[in-house]
Amino acid sequence: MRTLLLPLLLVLALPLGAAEPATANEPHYEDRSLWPADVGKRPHMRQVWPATRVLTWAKPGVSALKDDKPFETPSFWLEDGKPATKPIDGDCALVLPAMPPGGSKGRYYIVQEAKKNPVPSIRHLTVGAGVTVVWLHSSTGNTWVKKGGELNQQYHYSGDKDSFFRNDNPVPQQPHQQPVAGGPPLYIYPEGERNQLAHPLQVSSLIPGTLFRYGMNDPEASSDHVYFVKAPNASLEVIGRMGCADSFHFKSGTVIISDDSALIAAARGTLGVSPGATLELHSGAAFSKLGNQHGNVDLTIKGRFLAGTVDRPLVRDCFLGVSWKGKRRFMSKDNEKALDGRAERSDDASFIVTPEGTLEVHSADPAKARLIIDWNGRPIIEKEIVKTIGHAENYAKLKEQPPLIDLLLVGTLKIDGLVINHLAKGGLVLADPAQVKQWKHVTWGPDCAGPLVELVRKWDGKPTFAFTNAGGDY
Amino acid sequence: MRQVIPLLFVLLTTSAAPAQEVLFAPLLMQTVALVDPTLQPKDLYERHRVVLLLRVASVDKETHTAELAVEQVVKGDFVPRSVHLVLAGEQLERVFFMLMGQGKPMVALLGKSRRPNDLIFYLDGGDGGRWQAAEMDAANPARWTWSTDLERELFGVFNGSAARLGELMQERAIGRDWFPATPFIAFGADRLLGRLDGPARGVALRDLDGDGRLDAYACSEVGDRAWLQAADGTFAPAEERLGFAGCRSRSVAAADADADGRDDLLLDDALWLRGADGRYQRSAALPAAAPGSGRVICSCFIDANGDGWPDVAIARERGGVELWLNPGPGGGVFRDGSEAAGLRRPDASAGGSGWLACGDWDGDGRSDLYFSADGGRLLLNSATAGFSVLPLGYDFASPDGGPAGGAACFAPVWRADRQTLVITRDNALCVVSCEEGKAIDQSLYGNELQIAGDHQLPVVAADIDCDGTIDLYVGSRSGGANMPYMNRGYGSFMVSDRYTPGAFPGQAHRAGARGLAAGDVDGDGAPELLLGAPDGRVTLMPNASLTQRDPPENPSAQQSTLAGIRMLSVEVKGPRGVIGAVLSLRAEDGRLLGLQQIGSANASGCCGPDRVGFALREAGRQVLTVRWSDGVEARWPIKADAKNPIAIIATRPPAEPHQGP
Repeated sequence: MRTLLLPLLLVLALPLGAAEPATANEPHYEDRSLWPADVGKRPHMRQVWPATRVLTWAKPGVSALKDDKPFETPSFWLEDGKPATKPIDGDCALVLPAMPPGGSKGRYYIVQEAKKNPVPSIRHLTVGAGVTVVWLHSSTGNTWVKKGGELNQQYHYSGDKDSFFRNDNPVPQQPHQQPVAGGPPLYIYPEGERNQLAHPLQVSSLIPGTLFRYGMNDPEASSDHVYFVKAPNASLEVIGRMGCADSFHFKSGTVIISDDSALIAAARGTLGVSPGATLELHSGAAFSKLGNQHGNVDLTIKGRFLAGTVDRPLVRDCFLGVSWKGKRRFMSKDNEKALDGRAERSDDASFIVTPEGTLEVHSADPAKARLIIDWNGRPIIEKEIVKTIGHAENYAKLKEQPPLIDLLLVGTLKIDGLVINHLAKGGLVLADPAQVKQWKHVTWGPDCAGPLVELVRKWDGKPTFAFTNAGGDY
Repeated sequence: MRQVIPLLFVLLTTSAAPAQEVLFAPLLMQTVALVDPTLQPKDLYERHRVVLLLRVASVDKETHTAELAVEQVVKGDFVPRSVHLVLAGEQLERVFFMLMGQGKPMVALLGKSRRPNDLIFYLDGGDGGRWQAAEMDAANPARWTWSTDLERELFGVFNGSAARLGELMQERAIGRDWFPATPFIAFGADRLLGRLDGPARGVALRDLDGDGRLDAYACSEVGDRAWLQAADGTFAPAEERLGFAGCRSRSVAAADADADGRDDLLLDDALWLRGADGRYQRSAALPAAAPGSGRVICSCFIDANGDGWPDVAIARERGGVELWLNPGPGGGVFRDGSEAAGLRRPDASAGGSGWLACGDWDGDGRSDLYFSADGGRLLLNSATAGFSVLPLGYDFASPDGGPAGGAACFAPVWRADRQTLVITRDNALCVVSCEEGKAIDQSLYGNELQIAGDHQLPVVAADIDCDGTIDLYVGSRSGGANMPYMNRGYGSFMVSDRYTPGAFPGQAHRAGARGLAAGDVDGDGAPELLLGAPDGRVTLMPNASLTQRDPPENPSAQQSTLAGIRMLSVEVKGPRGVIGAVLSLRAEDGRLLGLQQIGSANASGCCGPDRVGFALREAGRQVLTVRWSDGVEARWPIKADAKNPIAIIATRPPAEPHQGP
């Protein structure tokens, strides 16, 4: 009997000791298959969360739809393994387990009418495989969308603690990438996948065209407007891909685009990093507009834009993809309007760092690990151009133009490891053109419109409309 | 095959055209503009043979089908009274669950000239609405197959609620729709009135000296300022002359508190009466604050009991809302009515701190209060039981730990026939309408209402672009850019700066505002904006929107409509019942064309004039009704041939006043 007891105990112990899957509230940072070795450097890993209620969807596989009770209703949830008795509160962690195998349906849905504003906020959310969530997601903590899970619509990230958003659905693999343990899963999409045309000129942009292999609104983690309103000393690290059909709003706190991760916005108008807010890119990370906007400014920095940090410098290139600006020259009576002229659309710059803004590059090897600023490789949206250009002769002239970007960098600049490509003549406007000489490890890409002396202009000191258009949101 | 077609297209375009030609990809139909002027609901209406308003009668979640009830055939012919909707494939399952719900309104447009069985439909979902494509069974028009989620292919056409789109289609059918796709606002160069020694707070545009011209007042904790407008339009400092030298305030409001025919001022919790000599003197009629009372955050005049005499509401730090009732015709001292009004109850946030605004939110004829403490409270004024509390549940805390937001105003911005509560949050704008007694936040359907500035605080409502809909102007308390939200109608707003950044040529628009007021200073019918900035500047932004209304040689429909608008200016006279007076403009057939209320459209702690403007977009006879706050009513017909601009001085009739609702 005794000889059987120990094995029996071990057999019984195995299920008891079987690991629970990692969740947003229990991320299992020690698991190297889930997290890279340097996760200890990440703010969210060091964050200590006070205890909170953890609510698990009671019936995985069973949907709750708009005509059902509100999802806050306790009967939908288990708490500590028992039926919940209290509704969801603003500080709880929600876990939506994966769709059970063998079910008749491929996924289950949790759908809530999106009319509520203020949107109910929660702390953590885990969306398992085979789960589709449709509500306005507002979180103060961590959000983890497992591969095969879907979260629609992201809306609001706030709170005073460091947190993460993680999307395990595959990121299109970029040419230089290899799968990294604990990093976002990579996938090579066949040409033409997801209804994207393989644009020939994308290959001439240094921005990986594969970033745009998704549809406009990433179904796995979709959104229209996403507001980042973390407390000033708090951060949200985006791991994987986050897309939005409209705009990201960087209002306060820090948004960290993790290694090989991406924020892709489809918005027409200017996106902006407000004063006091920070947008941080790390190795292999990308921030870009999906389209190629003809008007407004793609990104205006009144806060900080960091490529790498002192504690976490770049070890590989990161990318800022911006739109081609050329229409402005045809949208005023004077076809030769300068960047900082006063024509209706003269603020048609790609990227602006205002006098109160900061742009810094921190690289471990600035010769090889750089911030690359380039045309995002997207074609012009013809319909918009035709209607706004107006005159056929202007349209013909415009079509003769190569895709060129314009940068207005008149804030605090710390440059060591930078590539700028597709820059227009006079397309780099600086408060003092001589400061270019102080920049280190700068490469002027092969598609720039001329030699350096023709690319750089002195700022006339006048603020453009884009400087103070509200919050950099347009 | 799916991959061959795009490849063929690429080959055809790249081989047949110069290299740069391929920059233009007509098939890249990702129209991402929030307002796409090239494709608007009216265009869809014209391009389709049939337009239907439907409602989802039932949803079968197992079979992924729905039954739709046809409520109205707006255009064309459609015989079936119900439609069976099925999915073309499981790939639409997600959007089916996202959008479908029993009772939801739907707008469908069927049949283009070459594709008679194609249709598109619109449903609420996500933040806003979503367009879908379907096919009608040629043999059975009552069976539709839902084929495509158009995602954002038609984004920028209409992003609001399906119910409002339905209204737009109904009005299109009778030629009454107005949904401008491009802004037409224009302001002139800034007029700097002066600079305070510290940050500005509440501001006012009022006739301070009774000469018929609007003057300006600006509050500051380091010293208020006042300016009188001369006949030539210039403004001169006048705080000494008026008696305000040395005043230090946060909030300003105006009303004829003692019904002597002269406007008086409420500066924080102090009542200043204007004498016959034109000077203001502090009155003891409003008792001084009790010892230990918190500082005033803001205050306003409100006719709380409907007797036509302006009462006073005060919000103090940690003091909740105080209500002081006007002594009325017998004179004397204002009486503390807070307890009786229910404002000392805990659920009325009796010990809270916050912003105040007043207006008749639920349309019952009594002025309600909004108080921003504890997530926002609507204090609804009842006939007999004081104020009841409707909590709103917002979070006004600033992410950076700075002063909380939550300032507000009341204005008919969601619908033209009733007031809406408009609240600013740090980085958001909330529009709360009364729907069958419930507070519904409609912001998600407000299109560019979702584009917010930084550290938003004061909000003022006025028809800034003079088109007949009430717009919003929001100030940034941190000195960032202010936000102009032009009301397109049907609940949709456009941030005009995105499309016409030159409309505000001066710097004041981009330097923030702690105080805002709107009023027609130069008498042309278009409201100017008075800004009190965080840096102390007090600036008047002249409104030039009406100067650009001459139509070009081949005007668009929008330009033609604008050219035909007549401006009506109404000055409401008392001496009683002006605060809270409601002005309504009706067409000859009784339709309500416009609604405004004196004293409600102001930014918290600020004050506008007792005169309002209406932009008359429709031709024909119209009737203006003024209902003073104590129930006295009078009407003025507006002739069809009345020449632009039209001015009415609404004098209160001498009849015995109704005792209030």
